[in-house]
Amino acid sequence: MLAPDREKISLKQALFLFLTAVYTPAVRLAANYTAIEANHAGWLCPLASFPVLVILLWLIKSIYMKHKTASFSDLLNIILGKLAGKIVLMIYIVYITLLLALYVRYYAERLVTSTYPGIKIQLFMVVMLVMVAYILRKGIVIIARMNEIIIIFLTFVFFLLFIFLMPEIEINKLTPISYMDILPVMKGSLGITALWIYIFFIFIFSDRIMEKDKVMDKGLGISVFLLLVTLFLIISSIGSLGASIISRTPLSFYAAVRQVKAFGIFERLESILVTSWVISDFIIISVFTFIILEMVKGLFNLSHIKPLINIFILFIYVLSLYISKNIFELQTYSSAFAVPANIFFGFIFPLILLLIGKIRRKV
Amino acid sequence: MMKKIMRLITVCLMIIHISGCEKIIRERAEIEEHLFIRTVGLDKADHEDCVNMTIISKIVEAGATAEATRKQAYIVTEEGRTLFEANRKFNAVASKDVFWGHLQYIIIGEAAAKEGLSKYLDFIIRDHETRLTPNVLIVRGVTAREAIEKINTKEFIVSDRLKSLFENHDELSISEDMVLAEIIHLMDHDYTSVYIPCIQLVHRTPWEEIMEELGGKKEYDPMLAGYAVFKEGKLIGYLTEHLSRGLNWVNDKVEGGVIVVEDDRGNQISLEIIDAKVKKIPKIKEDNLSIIIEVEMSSNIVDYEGKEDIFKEEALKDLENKQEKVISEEIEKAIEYAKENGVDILGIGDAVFHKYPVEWNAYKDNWQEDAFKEVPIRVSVKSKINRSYVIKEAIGSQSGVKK
Amino acid sequence: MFDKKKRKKLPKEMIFSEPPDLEKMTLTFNNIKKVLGKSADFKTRKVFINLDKKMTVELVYLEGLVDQKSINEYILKPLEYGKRFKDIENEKQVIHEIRQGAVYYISQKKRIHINDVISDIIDGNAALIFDHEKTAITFDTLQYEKRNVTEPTGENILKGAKDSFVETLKVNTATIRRKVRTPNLVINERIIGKQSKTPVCLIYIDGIVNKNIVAEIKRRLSQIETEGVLTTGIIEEALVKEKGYLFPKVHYMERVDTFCSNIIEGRVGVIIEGFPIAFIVPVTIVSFFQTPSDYSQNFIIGSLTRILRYSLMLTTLVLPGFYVSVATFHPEMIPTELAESIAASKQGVPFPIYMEVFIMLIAFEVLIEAGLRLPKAVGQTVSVVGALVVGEAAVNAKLVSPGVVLIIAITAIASFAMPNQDFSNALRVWRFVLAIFCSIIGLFGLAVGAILILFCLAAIESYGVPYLAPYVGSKSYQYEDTIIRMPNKYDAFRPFFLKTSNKKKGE
Repeated sequence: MLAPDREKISLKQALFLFLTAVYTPAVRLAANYTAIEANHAGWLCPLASFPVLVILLWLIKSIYMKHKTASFSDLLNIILGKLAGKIVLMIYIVYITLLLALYVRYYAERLVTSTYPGIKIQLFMVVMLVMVAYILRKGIVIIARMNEIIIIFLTFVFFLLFIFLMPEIEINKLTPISYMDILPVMKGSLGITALWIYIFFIFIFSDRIMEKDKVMDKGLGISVFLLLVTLFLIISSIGSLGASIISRTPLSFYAAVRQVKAFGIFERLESILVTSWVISDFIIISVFTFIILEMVKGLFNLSHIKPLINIFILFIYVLSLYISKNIFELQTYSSAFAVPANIFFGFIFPLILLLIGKIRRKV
Repeated sequence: MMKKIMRLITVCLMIIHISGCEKIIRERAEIEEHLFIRTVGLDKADHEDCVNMTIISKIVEAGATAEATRKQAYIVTEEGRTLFEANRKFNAVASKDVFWGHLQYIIIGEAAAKEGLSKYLDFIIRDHETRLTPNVLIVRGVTAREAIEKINTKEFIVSDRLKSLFENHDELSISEDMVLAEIIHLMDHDYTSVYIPCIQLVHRTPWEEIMEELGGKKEYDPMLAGYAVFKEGKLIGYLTEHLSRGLNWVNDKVEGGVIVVEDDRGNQISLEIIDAKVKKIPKIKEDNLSIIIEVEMSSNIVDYEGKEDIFKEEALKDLENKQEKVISEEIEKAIEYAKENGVDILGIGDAVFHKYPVEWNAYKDNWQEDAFKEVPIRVSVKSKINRSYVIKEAIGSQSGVKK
Repeated sequence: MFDKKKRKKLPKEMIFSEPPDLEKMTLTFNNIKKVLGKSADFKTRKVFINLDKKMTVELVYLEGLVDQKSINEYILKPLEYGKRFKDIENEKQVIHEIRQGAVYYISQKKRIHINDVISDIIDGNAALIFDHEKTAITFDTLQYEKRNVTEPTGENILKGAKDSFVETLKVNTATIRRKVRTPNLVINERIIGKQSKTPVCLIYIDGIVNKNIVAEIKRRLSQIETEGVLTTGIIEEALVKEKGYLFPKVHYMERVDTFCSNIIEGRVGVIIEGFPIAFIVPVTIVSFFQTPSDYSQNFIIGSLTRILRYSLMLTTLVLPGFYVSVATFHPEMIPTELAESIAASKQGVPFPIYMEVFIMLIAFEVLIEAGLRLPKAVGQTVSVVGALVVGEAAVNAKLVSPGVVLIIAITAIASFAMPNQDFSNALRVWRFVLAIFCSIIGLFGLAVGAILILFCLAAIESYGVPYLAPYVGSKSYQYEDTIIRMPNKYDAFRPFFLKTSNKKKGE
C-alpha cells in the first residue's frame, strides 16, 4: 500500500488537520459539556485531559515505530492476523461512518439554529457534500494545503473574538475551586478527551504521512497549543455568561460571542464565527470521508478510491438525514453514546492493540 | 462516459429533492424592509393570560440635506396569548418586518412584573435574532405602553433618552443598568434574588402647563428611581433613594454621589463621593457564620453653607465620622429591608459560596428564608476627605485677612 | 437546378501559386532571385573582385535591414581594393581568402544550403553568392530602428533602476548580461513559429536551477506548432499545461531587475523577440505581491506595505459579497445608526441590493474597458463627466443607493493596488462569483466561495511547485520574504520549493 511521494502529506500538515478537526466539535460542545458536569470549575477539565493526549501520542509512536509505511488496516492485519484484523476494520468503518453522518447532520442543524432558521437542512447538506465530493477527488494533499491556510484564518478569528470577549469575563463566575470539584472535573474531562482522540483517527491513513518519527516532538507542541486554546475557549464562555446559562445553550461559544461589545464598535459579530464553522466543517467532513475510504480500500484491497467517492457521499447524505428525527435526539446521541464510544475506539482499543502487539512481538 | 452519466443522475436527484419547497430562502429581506426596533415594552393585557407588546421605531425619510430628514416615531401595540404570538401579529399590522437584532432596552410594566418575569423574558432569551445584551427596566406607576408614548418626543426617541439616563447613573449612584445576562444569572441560582432598575415618569415644570392650555403636548421625563425587587421572579417592592444607594454600596456599585452632613452649627456641607471600594467578608468561627461589610471611600468638599473653618484636623475628623454614619445608616437600612422580605439582593450568599465552598453546603438550602435572616452583618466604614477645589475657606469667613 | 455539371470553372488566374520547394533548389543567384525577388526591398549588386570584370559575385541584401555603411566600408571596399585579392583566379580562392580574413568582418558564415542563405538574408545579413561553387558567405549586418531603453510603463518605483525590456531580443540579452555577470548564465535560443520564425530565449543560471524544470520547459517549447508568435499568449499557454482556474501561472514583467533577481533565485526566464515583456516560471503566489521597492525601503515599512497589499487583495475579493450578505441576511452586524441610514437612503430604489451590486460591478468593468481605448485628448473630460454623472446623477435618480457606490469605489481602488495585472484580472472574475454566492445565501455563500477559491489556489502547481508555497509545504517554512520582509541577513537560503541544485546562497 505504498503511496508515491507526491501523494504524501507531512507530519505538520497531518497535525494541522487534527487541530482543525478538533476545532469544530470543541467550539460546539467543549464548554457546554464541561459546564453541565463541573459547573463553574469546567475550565479545569482540559488540564485533566492533557495527560491522555500525551499518552496517545506516545502510543502512536510506539505502534508505528517498526512499520513506517503501514496504514492502520495493514497494522491490524499484522498484529491480529488477517481474519480478526478485517473484522475489527469493519467495526471501525461502521463506527466512523456513524460519526461522519453525525457531523454532517450537526453542521446543517447548527447553521439552521443559529443563523438561517427558515431554510431546509437539505440545502446545506447537499452543497457541502457536493463540494466535498468534488474536492476530494484531487486527494488529501490538496486538502492538507488548504488546511494550512484555513488554520491560520481560524486561529486569527478565534483569538480576535477572545480578545474582544475578555472585558466581559468575570473571575467571579469561574471560582471557587475546592476539592469537591475534582470528581466533576474528571467527569467533564471525558468530553474533551473524546474529541482529542481524533489524533488517532488521523493516523489511520498513516501510510500517507511522512516523518512519523518526530511525532512526539511536534505533537507535544501542538498539544500544548490545543490545551491553551481549549482553556481560553472554556474560560471565555463560562466567564462571560456563567455556568448556568452555558449549560443550557447547545452552542456555547456562539452564545458568548453574542455578548461582545468591544469599544462600542465591534458588536454583534457572531456571523463571522458561523462562517469559520462552515470552513472547518468542510475540512472535518472531507478528512473523515477520506479516512473511511482508505479503510475500505484496505479492507477490499482496491488500488485507488476515486470511483467510491460519489457512491459513498450519496450514502452519507441519506444516512445523515435519517440518523435522528430532531436535534434533541441528536444531542442525546452525541453526549450519551458518542463520548464513551469515541474514548473506546480512540484510546482504549489502541492500548489493547499495543499490548497484543508487544506480546506477539510484532511491534 | 459512465462517470458523466452517474454524475448527472446524482446531481439531478439532489436538485429534485431540494426543489420540493418553493420558498427555499425565506430569510432574505432587503435592508429597507426591516423595521429596526431598539426598545420594546411588555405589559400584562386586559384579557386573561394575555400579554401586550409595544414596539417603537424610527422612520427616517432621507431628504437632500440634513434638515430635510424627518424623523418620526412609529408606535404599535399588539396583544397575544404569548409574546411570540404578539410578535407575529405585528406582521399583519406593520408595513415592515420587525427585526430584533438591534434591541437595546426592554421596558416591563409594573403589572407584568408582579405576574412573573419568566413569562415575559423567555421569548427574548430563546429567539435567535435577539441577544442577551439589552438593558431591562421596570416602569413604575404606568404601563410600559404609556411610558413609551409619553417619553417619546419629537427630537429624541425613547432609546436615546434612556441611554442618556443610564450614562449619567453614576452621578447619583441611585441605580445601575442591568443586562439581561446578569438577570438570568441571578434568577438561576436560588440563593439570589433579582433586582432591576426602575424608572418613573415625572411631570415637567409648571410653565409647561401653560403651554398645555395653549395646545402643546404635556411632556414627561423619565427619572431613574432606584430598584425594583423581585422574589422568586415576582415583583414585591421598590427601593428608592437612600435604600437603593445602600444596596449599591453593598454591591460595590457606587461610583459617585452626594453626601450631606452638618457641621457644629448646623450648616450643611456637601461631600462628593470620589471613589469607593466595598468588600464583603464572611467569617465562619465554630460553625457560626458572620459577615463584615468593609467600606473604604473618599470624598471631596464641594459645597459649604457656613463660615466656619472646617479645615482644621478635628473638624475634618468630625465630618468624616458624620459621613461614615450616613453611609452605614444607608447600608443598614438596605440590609434590614432585605432581611425582612427574605431576599438576598446583597450578594451575601454568593460571597459565602466563594470563600467557603465546602461549608456553604450546610447553609445553601433555603438560604434566603432561613440562614440569611439570622446571619449577623456588621458594617465598618472608613472614609477620607481628600480635598476641596478652588477656594479653601468659605467666603465671608475673613480668615485670609490677617487680623 | 442544382446540377453539378454546370458549376463554374475557376478562372485561370485563380490558380494558387505554390511556394518554391527550398529543399530541392541549388544555391544559385537566380534561384534566390526567384524566391525573394518578388519583394521591393530585395536589392542586389554585382561586385567585381579586384575590379576584375571576369570575377563577379553577387551581393544580395534586404533594404532597410542592413547597415549600408558597414557593407560599404568593410565588405565592398576590401573586395574591390583589397591587396589579398590581387592574384585571384577562381571563386574557390576568393572564398578561401575571405575565410582567412580578407574582408574585415567578424561575423561571417559559409552557407551551402539555399534555405540557410535565405533565412540569413531575412535576418538582415548581406550575402555574397558564388554561383560556380554553389556556396554563399553571409555577413551579419543587421541594423534597424529600435526603441530605446526607457522607463517601464506599468511598474514604477522610486528608488530603483528605471530600465525596462525593449522589443529587440539582443538588446534585452545585453541588459541582462550587464546585470548578471556570472559566467554560469546560460542563454538558450530556439526558433518558434513557421511563418514568423521568432527567436525565443531561455535564460537560467546553470548550477543553481533545477535541471528537471529546464528540461521540461525545453520539451514544452519544442512542442509548439504554430504559424506565428505575434502575441504572448501562445508562449504562455504552451509553458503551462495544467489548469489555472483563472489565476496566472507565469509571471510577466517589464523590469529587468525583477527578472534578474528571480533568475538568481533559481527560476527560469523566457524572453521573446518582438515583445518588451519577459516571463518567469515557475511562479508562486508570493511573487505577485512583491515589488522591488519593498527591498529598497526599511524592512518594517516594506513589511507593512506588503501586509497592506494582502489585506487589499482580501478586500477587493470579499467586500462586495460581504456587503450584499450583511445587508440582506445579517443586518445585525451593521451598527444601528448606520443600518438605519442605509435603509433610509435605500428608500425608493427599485432594485434589491445584490442587483445594485452587480450593476455597479459591471459598470466598473465597462469603465475600465472604455478607459483603455480613450484617446488622450478626451480622457480628462470623460473622467470628470463620468464621476459627476455616474456618481451624483445615478444616486439622485435613485438608480443605485449611495452605500453601494461607495463600496464599489473602495473595491475598485483596492484592485488597482495589485502589482500584477494578470492576478488582478483573476480577482475581478472571482469577486463576481463570490458576489453571486453571497446574494443567494448570505455569509454561508461567502464561506463556500472562499473554500472554492482556496481549493483552486491549492490545486495549482506549476512545474511541480505548489502555487501556495511557501505558505504551505512539507518542510520547514521560509517566511523571510513572504508576507513580511526580514532584513537581508536572514535571507540565507534559496526557496526550498524550487528544489534548486545548491540550497544555500553564497555557494
